[in-house]
Formats: sequence, C-alpha cells, structure tokens
Amino acid sequence: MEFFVAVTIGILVAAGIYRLLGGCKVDIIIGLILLSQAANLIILASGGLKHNASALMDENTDPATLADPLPQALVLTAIVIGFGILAFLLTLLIRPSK
Amino acid sequence: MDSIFLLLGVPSTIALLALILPGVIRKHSQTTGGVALVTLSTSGFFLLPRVFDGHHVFFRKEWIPELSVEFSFRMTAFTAWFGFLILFLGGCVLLYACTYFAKNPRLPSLVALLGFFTSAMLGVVWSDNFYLLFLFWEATSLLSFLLVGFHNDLEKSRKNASQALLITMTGGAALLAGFVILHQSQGTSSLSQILDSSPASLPTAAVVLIAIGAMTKSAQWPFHFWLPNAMVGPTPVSAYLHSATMVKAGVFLLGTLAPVLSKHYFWTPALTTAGSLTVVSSLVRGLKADDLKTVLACTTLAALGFLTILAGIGTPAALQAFVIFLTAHALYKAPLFLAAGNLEKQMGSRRLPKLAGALQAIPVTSFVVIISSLSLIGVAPLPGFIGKEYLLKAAWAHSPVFAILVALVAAGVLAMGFRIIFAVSRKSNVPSTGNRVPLGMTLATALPAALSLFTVVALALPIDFLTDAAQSLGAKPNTEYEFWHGWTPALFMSLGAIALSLGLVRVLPRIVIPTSTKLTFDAAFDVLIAGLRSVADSVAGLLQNGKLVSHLALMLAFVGASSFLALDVQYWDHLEVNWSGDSFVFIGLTPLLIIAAIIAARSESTVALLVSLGFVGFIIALLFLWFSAPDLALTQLMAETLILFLLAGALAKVKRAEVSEPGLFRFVVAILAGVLVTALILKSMTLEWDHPVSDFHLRQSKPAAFGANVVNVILVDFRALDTFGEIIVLAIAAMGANAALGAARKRAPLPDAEYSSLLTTGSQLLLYFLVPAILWIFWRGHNAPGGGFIAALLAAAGIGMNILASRPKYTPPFLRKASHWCLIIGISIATIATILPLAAGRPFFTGLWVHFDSLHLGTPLIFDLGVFLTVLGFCMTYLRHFHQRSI
Repeated sequence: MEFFVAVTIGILVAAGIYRLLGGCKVDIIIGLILLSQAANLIILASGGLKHNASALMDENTDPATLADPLPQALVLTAIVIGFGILAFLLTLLIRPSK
Repeated sequence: MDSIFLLLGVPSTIALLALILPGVIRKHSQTTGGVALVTLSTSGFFLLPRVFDGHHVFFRKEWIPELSVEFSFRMTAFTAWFGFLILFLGGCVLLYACTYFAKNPRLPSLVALLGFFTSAMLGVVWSDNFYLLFLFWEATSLLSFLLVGFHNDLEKSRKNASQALLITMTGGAALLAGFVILHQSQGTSSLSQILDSSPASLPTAAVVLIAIGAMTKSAQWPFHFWLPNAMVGPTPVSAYLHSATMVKAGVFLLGTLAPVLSKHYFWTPALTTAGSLTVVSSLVRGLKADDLKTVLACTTLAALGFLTILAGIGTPAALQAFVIFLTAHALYKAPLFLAAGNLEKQMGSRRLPKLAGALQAIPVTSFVVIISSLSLIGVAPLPGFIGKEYLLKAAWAHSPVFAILVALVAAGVLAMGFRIIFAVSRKSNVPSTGNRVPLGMTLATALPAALSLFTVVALALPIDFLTDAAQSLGAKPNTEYEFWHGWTPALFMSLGAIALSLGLVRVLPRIVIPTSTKLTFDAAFDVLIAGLRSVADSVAGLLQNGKLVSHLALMLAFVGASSFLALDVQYWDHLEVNWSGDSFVFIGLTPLLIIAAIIAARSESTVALLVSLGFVGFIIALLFLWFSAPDLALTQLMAETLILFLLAGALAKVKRAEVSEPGLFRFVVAILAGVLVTALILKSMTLEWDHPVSDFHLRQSKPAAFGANVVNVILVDFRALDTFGEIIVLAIAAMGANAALGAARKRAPLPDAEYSSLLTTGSQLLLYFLVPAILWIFWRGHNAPGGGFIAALLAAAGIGMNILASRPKYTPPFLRKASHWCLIIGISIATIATILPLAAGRPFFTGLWVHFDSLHLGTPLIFDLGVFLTVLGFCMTYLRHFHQRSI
C-alpha cells in the first residue's frame, strides 16, 4: 500500500505544480492548496504507515504496535496553519489594489 | 573592568543625547559645541597619564567564545596617545561643526554621526580582538559614508560617498578574511598575543589581505583616488577624517602589526612601493590644483604614503618615526582643513589665487595656516620637522637610494605647503567680500595648532614625552626624540628637499601636467562598477524576467535537481511494489483522486474547482483515517470545509481577467516533479529508523499527562509551546485580515443571491445540534479523537453555514465583536494556562493536575480551551470578511 500512497502524493504534487505554473493569482493559491495536501501526506508517511493502530494508549498496549503520534501532531498543526496561510493569501487576492 | 575604557562611550553618549534632544541642539548649537569640546577634551586628558605610564591595560569579557570573538580592549602608551588625539580633535571638530552648521536643521544628526564615529575610531584603536576591531573598523567605514555624503541632496556627494564606501568595505572584507586566516594559523584572535608571540612564519594570504584592507582604508595606491573625492563632505568632516580618524585607522593597523608582519617577505617591498606610488600620485594631482581643500587632501595622501612606507620598513627606528610623524600630521592637518573652511567663509572662495590678503582680513586663521604649513614643510622646531628627520633617517638606514627617492618626492609635497603659505600671505588691496568668521570656528581651528606648539615644548622638556608611546609600538626602548642629530644625511636631504621645493614652486606655473592622468583611476573604477552592474543586470535578467512563472520554475528546477541528487540511483535494492496489505482500498481511491486532481489542475470554472478540491480533501481525510490518524481525518474534514467556504467567497469577488494557458512546458515540469516525488517517497519508505521521541511520548502519555490520545497530549502538553506559537500566528493572521480588508468589505460586495428559507431555518437547527457535539468533541479530546482544534473547526463550520444562510442574527457588528472577543479571550486563557505553573513554583508550561478518582483536570485542558477559542475567533474573522454582505 506504500506504493499507492507514494503515487497519490506524486499526483498531488504534479497537479499542484501544474497549477502553480499557470501564471495567475488564483492558480497559485490552488496550486498551494494541492501542494500542502501532498506535504501533509508526506509528513504522515515519514512516520511509517499503519492500519488500525491509532495512537490511543491503554495500560497494557505495546507502544511499538501503534502508529507514530509525532508526525500526526505535526500534520494537525500543519493543516491548521496551512488553512491560516491560505486564508491570508485569499485576503491578499481580494484586497483592492489601491 | 578598567574604567579607562568607559571613555569609549563618552562620544556615543553625546551622539545619543543629540538624537534624543534635537531641539536643544538646534536652539543652543554654539553651547552644544562648547560642551562637546570640553567633555571630549577632558576625557582625552584622562588618557594622558597612560601615555607616560609604560603599563599595558587590558579588559576582557567573553562574547562569542565558540568563534573566539571577545569583548577585549588593550591600551598601550601609543593607543592612549592616539585616543587622546581622537578625542581632542573630535572635540574641536564638534565645536567647529556646531558653529559652522549653526543654522542647519540637520545639525543634530551631524553631531550624532560625529559622536558615534569618534567612539568607533576609539574602538578601532583600543580593540585587542581581531573581530571586535573589524566591527569597529566597519563602523567607521559606514559612518564615514554617512558623513561624507552629508549633503545628500547633491548627486556628486552621494556618488563620491558611495565610492568611498565601496572601496573601504571591499577592503574591510579582505581584512576580515586576513584576520580569519591569521587566527586559524596562529590559534589566537588576540592582537596583543600575536604581537607578543611574534611568530616566525606567517601565511602569505593573511599578510596580503590585511595589507590590502589597511591600504584601502588609508587610501594607498592603487586605491588612493577615493580620498580626494571624499572632499565633497562638509569641512569639519574632512578635517576629522583626514587628521586623526578613518584614513589613520589603516596606517594605525599597519604600524601596529609592522613588528610582526614585516618579517614576511611580501610586507616591506609591497608597502614601500605602494606608499611611494601614493606620494607620487598625490603630487600629480596636488601640485597643479587650485582648490585649497584638494591641495590639502593631496598632502594627506602624501603623508599617508610616508606613514605606509614607515610601517613597511617596520624597523624600530621606522616605528619611532611613525609615532611622531602621525602625531605631527594629525595636529597640522586638522587646523589646516578647519582653516580652509574659515578662509572660504571670509574670502568667499577657497581657490588659492583668491586667498590673497587673507593675512589682513583674517589674521588668526591665517597665522594658524602658516604655522601648520610650516609644520607640514618640516621647519624646525615644529613637530613636522622631527617627523621628517626621523622619516629620512629610517629610510636612509633601510636603503640610501630609497631615502634619496623619498626626499625627492617629499620635495614635491613641501612645494604644496609652500604654495599654501604664499597664497595666504600674499598682500591684496581688494577688501574681502565674505562674512565674518564666528569665534567658535576660529577657536576650534586654533586649538589643535596650539597643541602642536605645546608638543614642541613637551618634546623639548626632559620628560620622555612620547618615548613610551613609540616604545609600545615597537621602537627601541628609552630612545628620546631629539631635535638635533648633528650633520647627518637626513638633515642634508631635508635641506635639499626644502631648496628643491622652493625651486619647484617657482617653475611650477610653467610645468604642464597632463590632466588626463589624474582621472585614470576614477574612470577605471567607474568602468569596473558599470561592468559589475551590467553583469548583475544580465544575470538577473536571465533568471528573473519579471514573470512569476519563470521565477517559480527556476526555484522548482533547483529544488528538483538537488532532490534528484538525493535519490542516489545506485541503491534501489529494497524498492519493490508492496501489493500486500489492504491494497483494494486504494484500487478504488487512487483513480478517483487522479481524476479529481486533474480537474483541480485544469479547470477554469469556479464550481468545478471547488468540487474537485473538496473531493481531493475528502479522499485525503479518508487516507488519514485509514492510516490510524483519526484526529487528522477530523481536522482535515473540517479544515477542508472551511477552505471551500473561504475559497467560494473569495473567488466570487475576484474577476478572472487572466486565463491560465495550457503549455507543454508546464505539463512536463509537473509530470517530472510528480515522478521525482513519488520515487523519493518510495525510497524513503524503505528506510527504518528509531523514533525515541515518539516512543517516549507514547509511554509517558498516560502516566505523566493522564491522556490516552497521544496526538492531543502532544499538542496541549508535551509540545504545547509549539501550539502556543501557532495560535499566536493565527491571531496575527486574523489581525492581518482586519487590517487589509477592514474597508474593502464595503467596496466589494458579494453578488446578490436569493436565500432559501429552508436553508436559513435548517442551519439554525443544525447549530442547536452542533453545540452539544462541539462540547463533547472538545471534552473527549484528551482520551479519544477530538480536542480544541477539531471542536473549533466544527463550530466554525456551523457558523459559516449560518453566515451563508444569512441568518439575521449574524450581523456584521455581532460577528466582529464575537471574533475579537474569541481571539482575545482565547489567547489570554492559553497564556494563563501556561503561566499558572509558575505561580505554583513549577517551570513554564508544566501541567498542573487535580485528580478526582478517575477524572483528571489540569492546565492542559485550560490551554486547549484557549486553543479552541483562538481558532474559532480566527475562522470567524475570515468568514466574516469573505462572506458577509455589505450593509
């Protein structure tokens, strides 16, 4: 399944860069949305991908069987910050240029 | 600390006061000048005991020990004497400037610049650490740029100031490189240690680079041309730059390092040659010049050339000559320059032929000019005489042929001095036309000349004056300066030079010096700069053609090329397509994602864009869920919803004038990037590594932070500082939107649309159901998927829905207030949660907990509440700006 994740990320990057090189402002914003989705997936994948192993600890769980929580925390922050950046970019987009 | 080094701060204090109280300076300019003179010269007099005291004083404080950068100073008899000259002449120059520019509104900034400049120069002279010295060195370059370019409304002034800056800064870079090499090879960055250890072998590069650095600063050939051009600066500035500061910094360094560096084979030939050529080129320009300031600038060049020759010879005798020559020059050059300003004011011109009659019109200044010029010429018993005798003596000891050459070029310099004397003392029947010179200016001009005479007395007395200073620089111990050496070759050469120069002045009007030669270096410099500029322009034009697309493509190409190298194609062993696991999920999802991504990449219609982007986000949320990241899936879903809300609002307001064009180039770059990223990820996934931090978080989550959901525990407890920073960023972004769009809302209304009553009622109902859900998600966050971020995004989505439905309750003032208060209270609560532990005597951000059986309440929960409110406030700010209809 790693292969599919890698392909998914590759497609997102390709779509994002294609859009980014479009030359108008809206293109850049949409390109960045796609690229940041890809980046989030890359960070998550860097911690190793596990199915059915959410990082919820019990007294008698072996930590090694769980998904890596650190990339998840990073991505969670990244999603919110990415949302913030996008919102601000949109502000610049609709701001009357006077 | 030795309090003597506090004197370094005195001129800076004056500068700061001038900046704080500019009104006082403008109103009482003369008084300011007087106070500055008294303060600085008093500070200088504190240094005089050190001149007679053989002890070296040190001060050391660590600054950046890893780089051997130390805050260390050293004072020897010579640097104390140099410091005295800097402070005393600085005082005179400040008094002069305050009188000269009494009516100029920019006087406070001139005073401030001169004050800082004085401190920087003291720093150069007193620093013991190479890097500290370099910092002060660059400060003098920068400040002298501002001083020379003081008349910044004049094109010429700006041009010449930046020429000086470019040359001295280039030299500064060479000096730094030289210092680094010297430091690396000798293992110490302390000037005094290098001088004490006196290493036998030195790296050639260090010697060359340091010499270049000092030579640019002191305007030595072939960098000499900037100094006469720097004459565009105001008169007091020129006086100061030429007498005790700036150009003296270079020769100071040469003289200080001479005992060590002169052992290197490069030093003596290079410096004596450069010095001699500097003197010769000063003659080419100075002998025929009519402008008094230009003539003076050329004599400065010549004096610097002689000082460089002495530092180049580097013998104890040469260094003894160095000290007295430098002193004499500082004390006659400052009054000469200041007098040039007085003469210009009184006579209405500073051209030599127009100065006839000065002696009657402006006797004190003219007297100062004559005395100082006599010192320049080297007439006994003035300090210049001793300086010249010792110079010729040292040169003779070095090589008699060279000494005769020095005497011959010196004759030219003396001729310049005679020209000034003759110009001033010639009688004229025409009364002068200019204004009266104020007392302050006359006083400031006369004081250094008086000190010059005082030096003669001090040298004549048996008190070992300046002997220690010369000895601390490297001259033979206990050699006093003497006026009479008997009938030595030096005396004959000196007399010969005077006779020759008198003859030269006679025949000078008939000699034709080709005028083109004097401009060669200037022209070469201009060509060099123009060449650099055109190279820079063409490179910039190649890389940045003003099109955003090509900028982006270039950056992407660079990133792509460097990551391609990281691929390291040789190792592909473990790469295999892993069909195992639950791949069937992807067989359905991947094609859907491909289609959605292609539509998102190609579509021009707003609706198609929104749908495809939403689809992509939704599939990614599914992927998060599949890969054991339920918190991410929830966050992604909510964030995606809000992004679409905002995007819809923004795209509705933007007129899409430009339509992006499809192109093969774009396509190829995108495909290449996609393939490259895929390959990199496949490669990175074959790696296995330890994750001790994650393991720690997993193990400690329950016992230390009482939470089962490790992701949420990391966010609000283990790494709460990061989260705190993040919500601050969000708050700032919200303020940014308010600043940028506060007024825009009224100008760009949303297009009118019909609103369905079903939606309006439905969204209200939705919110009622959402409130308990939000509370529940927030509360369970510590132990199960959920938490402040997700709850806030969910709440924001609900509010967004209501704004879209245009519920009457959601008026602009209500939303504005609500979002502001959410942000303020959110940040405050989060801050309180972080500092509560401090009150309990625990470190910042430590969780404080109260336990009720199985229920654990703690500050991380309060912090999460702060996060919730801040994110909610942030989302509401943007929803309000993007979706509210204007009223």
